[in-house]
Amino acid sequence: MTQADNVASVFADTASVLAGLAAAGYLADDKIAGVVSLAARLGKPLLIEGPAGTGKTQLAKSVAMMADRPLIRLQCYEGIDESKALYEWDYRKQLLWIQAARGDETFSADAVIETGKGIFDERFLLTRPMLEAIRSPQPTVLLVDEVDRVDAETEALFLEVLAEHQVSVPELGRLEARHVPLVFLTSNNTRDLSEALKRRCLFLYLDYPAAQREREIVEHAVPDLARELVERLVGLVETLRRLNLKKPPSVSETIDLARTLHLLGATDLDVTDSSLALNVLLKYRDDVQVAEAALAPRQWNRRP
Amino acid sequence: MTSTAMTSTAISPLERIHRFADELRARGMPVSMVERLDGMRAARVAELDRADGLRTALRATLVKSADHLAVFEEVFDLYFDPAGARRVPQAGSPDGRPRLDLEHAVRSVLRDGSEELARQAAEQAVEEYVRFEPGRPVAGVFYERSALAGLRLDELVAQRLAEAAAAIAGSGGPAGSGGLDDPGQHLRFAVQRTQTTARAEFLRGEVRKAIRDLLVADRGAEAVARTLRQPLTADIDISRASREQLAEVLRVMIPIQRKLATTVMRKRRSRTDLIDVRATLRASMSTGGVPVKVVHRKPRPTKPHLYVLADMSGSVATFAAFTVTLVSAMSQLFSRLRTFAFIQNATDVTDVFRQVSGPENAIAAMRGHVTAGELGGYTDYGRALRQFHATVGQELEHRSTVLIFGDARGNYLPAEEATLAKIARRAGSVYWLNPEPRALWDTGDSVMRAYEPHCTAAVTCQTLNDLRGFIEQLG
Repeated sequence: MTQADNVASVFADTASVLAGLAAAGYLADDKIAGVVSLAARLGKPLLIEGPAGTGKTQLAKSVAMMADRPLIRLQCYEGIDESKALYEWDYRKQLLWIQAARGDETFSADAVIETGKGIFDERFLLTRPMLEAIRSPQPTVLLVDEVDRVDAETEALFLEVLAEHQVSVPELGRLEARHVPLVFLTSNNTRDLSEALKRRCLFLYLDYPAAQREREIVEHAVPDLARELVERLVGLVETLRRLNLKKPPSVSETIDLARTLHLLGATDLDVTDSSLALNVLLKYRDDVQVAEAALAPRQWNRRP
Repeated sequence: MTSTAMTSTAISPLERIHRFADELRARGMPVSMVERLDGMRAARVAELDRADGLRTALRATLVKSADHLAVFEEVFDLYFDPAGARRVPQAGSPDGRPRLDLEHAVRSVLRDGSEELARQAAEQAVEEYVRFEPGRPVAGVFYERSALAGLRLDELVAQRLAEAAAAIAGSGGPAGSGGLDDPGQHLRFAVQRTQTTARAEFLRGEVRKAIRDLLVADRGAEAVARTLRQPLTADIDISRASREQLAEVLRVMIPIQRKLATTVMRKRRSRTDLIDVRATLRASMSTGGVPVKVVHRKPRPTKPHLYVLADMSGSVATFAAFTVTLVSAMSQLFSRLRTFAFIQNATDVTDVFRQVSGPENAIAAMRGHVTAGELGGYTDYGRALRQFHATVGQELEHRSTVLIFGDARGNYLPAEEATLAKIARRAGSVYWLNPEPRALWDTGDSVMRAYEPHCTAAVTCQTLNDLRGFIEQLG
């Protein structure tokens, strides 16, 4: 079976996932790579939680790229229902079919109503991301983005796909997976997900990266920046994350600042005004004020 | 399973995972049967040749919330990670590794942040400075303190910061003013300070681990785990929490506020109601007049008015202050929020909460506000209720909710349930949150039984979890 071979080779262990992700442009660490490998080998969905901007969505994209599988993405929002997530009957086509079939002598409306044959056919089924992921002729990566935004009732609809890899359509019966998709769910933790969902998933908490890894990420994104400066930059970001801010700077903001400094031709943080850095890194005026107060001189001028 | 992780005991690896999961449950983590089985399955395919293979496998299967990660790591260290597995063996010296010059080592750890060196320094410090007494059921706090004192960590951190400040000032501009005046220098120093504190914190953590290893070797993982066992932060009894625990509770409270707000808003919004006939007819145009799509009218939920009356005396105060802060932070959920604090007299403190930011400040400000006028007073529920009724009685209506926080201990003054009854008649609902367990109600000077019949509900509310459950159903 080719799919099994694929899983065996790309996801065989932490090291090969690390290498694969690096090739796809995602710098993972052992923790991330280990869990991805485990999820693939156990065939379980992976629930990724963490602050915004730590690369949750990017991880799923990169895994799809490294495994050379199509990525099917379901962006969740409040009020999404099964007709947007799973499937929907295309009633326009159904109406059209009935109109066309009327002219046919063998057509009997009673028979259609009785058996549902003809109207309820896979031809009239509009597949939405989740159904598409399991019915795809080749193995896929399914990304359910921001799953914490859906209502608790809708969340329950996902369970069948996540655990049994199938979708039950009342008129057709069970539609089973041709290939087990690799499922990633991301959550910004704006509400608690149900126990039922969590039970079916492996869990990965993606926190802000450690200083060392963040330096590597910045160096990877902006290769021309001086090492010294990268170190200062990452140090500053770390300092800001310890403050009590509404929106602490994420990795993408660190990269933004690195790009800004590179464009300005800066060689040292001293050269640039520190308020420039804060305005790139922080998104709220309140946060900038808090940060300026915390970095102000009076706190440490007392020291000898 | 490989030998490294499992040699210390004779029990089977699977049994060990079971006991590990039991300990997690004992600490309050919801590890279900399914997750336990998943843990076993994952352990079977885990990469045990990697340092953290088993840890990764169990973490991904047994932990399902970021709040529980710290507990997991602590217990895992006790059950599966004895010192032998972590230590990197070095050839050459008689006991496997060379002795370090500790002061030099700590300095270079603070400067460069080498984790391996920190580990070695911590282990050696524990060997040298800790007078270990076998068999004592202790958590090792005292040992930790003596090891850190031996390392002179605080002193070296201060020295390191002074050095850094001097270096930055020295390399400053050509002006060479000596101080750290220019903003770039502030920034560099602030960065240095964060890094140094983080490294010191790492070293402290390593010392703690080394001591835990000693304790585990002495008394076994399970006994040590029992000594260290603490409730999860959300289950801490707030009135009895220590200062460190309160800080932890505050930290956990911020995300909870956010989550509660989303949950409550959504619950309100999801109440679908009447059909919007006009929109439905319009939508039916595309299907030849057949109303295939039914459009509902957008629900416009009425936001409740919330009135809070909080006892700020004695041990109840901490809890009341926490609750009021939590409620104030979610003021967007209520169209009107008025907060009263009382010991003897009910005072309107709504603005106090609006002006200060952060729960700590709010608590301090509220304390100051209330006690300033009433030093030496003792709790008088009857009087507070009367004053509350006199102030807001007229504005109460069916959509007003009154929350009362307090232990109903009225210093043997008579209960004035008639006043509460009057409030209850006007308001939509009255909830009484009592920080004492139900068994203690009506003992001593508590007159809870007299007030209870007039409340919509009277519940015990001791922990963050209790509070959260309450607010969720309130919305």
